[in-house]
Amino acid sequence: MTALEKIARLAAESSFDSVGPAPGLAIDTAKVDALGRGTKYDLCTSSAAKRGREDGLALALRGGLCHSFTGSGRCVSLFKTLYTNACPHDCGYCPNASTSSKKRIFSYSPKELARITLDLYQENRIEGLFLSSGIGRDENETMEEMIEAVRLLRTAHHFRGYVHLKILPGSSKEHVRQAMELADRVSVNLEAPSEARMAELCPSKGYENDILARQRYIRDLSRDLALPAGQTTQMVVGAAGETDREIFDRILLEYDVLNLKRVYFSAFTPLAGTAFEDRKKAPAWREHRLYQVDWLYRVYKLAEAEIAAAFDDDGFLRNSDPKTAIARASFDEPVDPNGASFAELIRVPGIGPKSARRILLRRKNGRIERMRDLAALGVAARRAEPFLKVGGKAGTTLDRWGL
Amino acid sequence: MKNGDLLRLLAAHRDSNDRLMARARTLSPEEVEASTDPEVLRIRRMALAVRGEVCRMRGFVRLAPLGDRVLWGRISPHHEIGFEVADFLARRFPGKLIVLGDGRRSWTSLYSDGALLHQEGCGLAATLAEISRIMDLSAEGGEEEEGREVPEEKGGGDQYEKEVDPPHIGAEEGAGTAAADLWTVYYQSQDEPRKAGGRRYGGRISQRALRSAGLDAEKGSGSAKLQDFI
Repeated sequence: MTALEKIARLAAESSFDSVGPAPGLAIDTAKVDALGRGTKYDLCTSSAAKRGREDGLALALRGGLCHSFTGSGRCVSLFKTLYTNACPHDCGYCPNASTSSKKRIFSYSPKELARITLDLYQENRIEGLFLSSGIGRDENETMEEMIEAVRLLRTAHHFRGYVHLKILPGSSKEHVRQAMELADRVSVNLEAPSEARMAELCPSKGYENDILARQRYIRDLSRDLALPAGQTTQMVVGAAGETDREIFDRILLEYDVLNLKRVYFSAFTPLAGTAFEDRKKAPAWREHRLYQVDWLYRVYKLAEAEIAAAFDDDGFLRNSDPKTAIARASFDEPVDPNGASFAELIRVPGIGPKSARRILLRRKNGRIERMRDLAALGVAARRAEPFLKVGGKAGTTLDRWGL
Repeated sequence: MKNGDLLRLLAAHRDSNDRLMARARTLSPEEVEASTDPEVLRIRRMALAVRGEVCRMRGFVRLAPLGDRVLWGRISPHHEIGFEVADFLARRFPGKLIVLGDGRRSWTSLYSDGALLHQEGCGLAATLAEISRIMDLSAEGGEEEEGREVPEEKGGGDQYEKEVDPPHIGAEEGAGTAAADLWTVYYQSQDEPRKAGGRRYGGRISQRALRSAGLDAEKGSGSAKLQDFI
């Protein structure tokens, strides 16, 4: 018997089937399309989860995995869909709003959803499921069905892929708990930075009661539940005239008080048929600059007071690198990579946590005398050079900014 | 990067050689991380190139079922990473036989009862034909395997099988499953050209990766058409 024969026979005899036979459910592609479109502006396709290893299986990867990219370059790693697009709310930006014209209502059943997810997962097209939804008839009824779909996956089909479940505004604490037991990540959509802005976006949603109270449930419950990928949220940027500073103030609370893992931003795009269809589109770069500020706070651990230098007098970010703006405002003299601390190094534009750590390691084996060496350590030399003192050449270019 | 990981990745690189491997053996994780020595840099880049390809292949390979115990897919990796990808997928789908490969080579993996088994073989089509025969899949897999000749010699890793791919492993993606159609609909539903920013499609997914995994829903993406601008 050849080795291949042995393996093949073993597989044929194996009684365990993680995916299960396809019962041949006919699925309406118009539904897949409509409910897929409904989540087009939902963010967080990250599929990274820090789970414990079970049995040497390859589970959700610690670092996540992209399976595809849309034409505009966004990662498609999850089956990201709505459970239903029926919704009594009339959020001005939302294509699923009750007032949205030309809307056909679709809804999955837990079985259908589980089947599609398994089929796509088995063909290695996705890392898992991202399940959001309109409210349907009632938030608790819809939440129950969404949970049922994930429970089917996890228990009946032993699905170990990644699951991100949206908590619908207003869901009960019991539903939040059940969702957290099954999912890798849960999130409640914040959408607006404050109650007043929320009133403008969506008068029927209660900011404090429907959203923040649910985020607090999740925070409190996660003390006892694993929730490997944590709680996140997302905001729509530029639909209600809010400033970047307002958004930044809100994310500080989200991180510091509610222990969120990430906040995601979606630049507002006016959609035909919605109440906001005539409003101005928010530029894509605004989203990008907010992420940069978010990174400076969350990853680089810059203080709020330092980051404040990146905002202009009206509270907006410019379309330029906020870290450079902060460095220009705060650096008195160029940094010497041979003597600077980690905290000083990561404040230099072009040096991130990784290259800062490498610089510290490299310093043990002698001085760094050339920009070339820094570039080899991963420093973006062109951006960093004006702020560095390397090999006796220092600070000359700082003057160019008229500091 | 741990030294074991570095050696494993470096050994899989197509330009790896004994001298580089010997040098790599002497390196501490700190040196690999922070050395500015050109050769160490080269070693680091080579290891990262292999790691990058493993990641892309894991993400982009599409699997199609053959019977109910086999999942197969097309990959033509640059580096020696066939098992790295096949083992990963085998662990993900316990009890399923994972068969990956192209016209020349194939990698078969199975994770069952806590043990991982794998075997390298000649071309994908021949391996699948052989597995169909062993598993007696001729009834179910008839459309795939009917009339295919099984090459007489087995196990020659770098043996050329045929110039042309067999019909069921063509350039078009997999076996045209129902899920593939659902995927196309879903994939297209996620695109929003107005949200384009940063690196576009071409910067994320190379032509080589597209070809290697035979992704068809994605093929037309990223190429702007005239009407996009009107």
